[in-house]
Amino acid sequence: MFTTALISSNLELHALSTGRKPRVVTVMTMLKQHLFRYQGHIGAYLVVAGCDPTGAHLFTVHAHGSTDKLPYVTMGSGSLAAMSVFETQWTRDMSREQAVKLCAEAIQAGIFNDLGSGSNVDVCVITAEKTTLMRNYITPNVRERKMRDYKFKRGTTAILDERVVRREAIEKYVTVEEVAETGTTAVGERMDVDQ
Amino acid sequence: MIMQQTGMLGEDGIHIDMNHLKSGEVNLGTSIMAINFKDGVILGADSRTTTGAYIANRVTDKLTQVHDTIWCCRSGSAADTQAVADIVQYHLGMYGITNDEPPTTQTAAALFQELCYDNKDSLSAGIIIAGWDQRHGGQVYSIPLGGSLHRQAYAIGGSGSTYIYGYCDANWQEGMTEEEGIKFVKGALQEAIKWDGSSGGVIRMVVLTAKGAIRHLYLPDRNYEGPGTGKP
Repeated sequence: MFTTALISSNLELHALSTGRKPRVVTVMTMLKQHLFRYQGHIGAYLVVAGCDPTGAHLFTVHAHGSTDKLPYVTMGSGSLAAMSVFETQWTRDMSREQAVKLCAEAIQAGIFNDLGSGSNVDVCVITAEKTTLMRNYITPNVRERKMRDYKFKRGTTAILDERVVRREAIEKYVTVEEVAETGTTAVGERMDVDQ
Repeated sequence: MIMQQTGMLGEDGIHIDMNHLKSGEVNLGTSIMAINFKDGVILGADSRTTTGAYIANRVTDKLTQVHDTIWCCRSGSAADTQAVADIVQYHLGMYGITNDEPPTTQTAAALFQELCYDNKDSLSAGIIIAGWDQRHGGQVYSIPLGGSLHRQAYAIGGSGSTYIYGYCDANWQEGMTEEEGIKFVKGALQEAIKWDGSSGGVIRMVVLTAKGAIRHLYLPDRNYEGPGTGKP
């Protein structure tokens, strides 16, 4: 999470300083150089995808800093299950609907066959114009209603003793210290702002 | 973390720990080679990258361009060799612009060697450099694990190369034609792929001559006979 936030921030600054739209290869390169410097100690395994002026690109970045460029990629513990779906069903020119369906199926293969993956499917579609994130696109694991009610009836636990502790009783344990009012002191550190 | 020493001097000689790759690292358990022929050089490689027993990429491109007609074959850690090749590519790019003249293959090989030798304790990279330049024509250099540099008529590398020392020695001829060279590289890599479990997938080749760089691709489902330079 920190790695992606850091790279995202640096990418924004890069885009601002070059005055150009950022490219997918740029993010990929920034990530691989960052991760390589840390020799795998930053355990980030990522799929990098996006559209830029040079086209649509798909990369994987491993924690040690190696990258791959492929037409379809999977990562994580469920990547084997997901890849088996891609390897049998992927074709070069799929429509948006076909591609979304295939990705959802690949993730479901991970959910059902890999113990490390579970719950819902999120799908994100990136085109040159816009990005659509479909959170919980498929929810194959909705919790069922319990057949019985396991709540304890009110009054199940017996009350043996009842005591009320008032504020005066604990005041002797508390010390109150007055602090100078905020905003009145420390003017030396005011930030310079362009007029 | 205390970095383990890679070489040790015992009573019965030097021991080198070849299994010091960081766990979970992406590996190029590879078959790579480069040869000289009449008009230049040919580079060849399989396309398998593995993480343990899993094939992380079955169509990898291990032939990497570092200048117009200077390329390298990468073996060992994918991360290490990519990082080294990226640095060399940057330096050669700068060299080409500042000197208004393309760098020689030897210059490229020297850059690779410096990086591989200086960082030998933290790198696992076996690289073959092959290139064509106006002054020397085609040249092949090899940099094995320790970071030494060797100029060779042909070089083989990676885990699969151990299976084809005999093949290469028996079939090598000085001054082959392009067609004979391609046949030699393809034949050797086919054997390496056949015997080495860490090598496989497609055979990629790059031919470097005065005319520039030309890519070749040979697919296993066509018995490695095509499509060559055509479209798959």
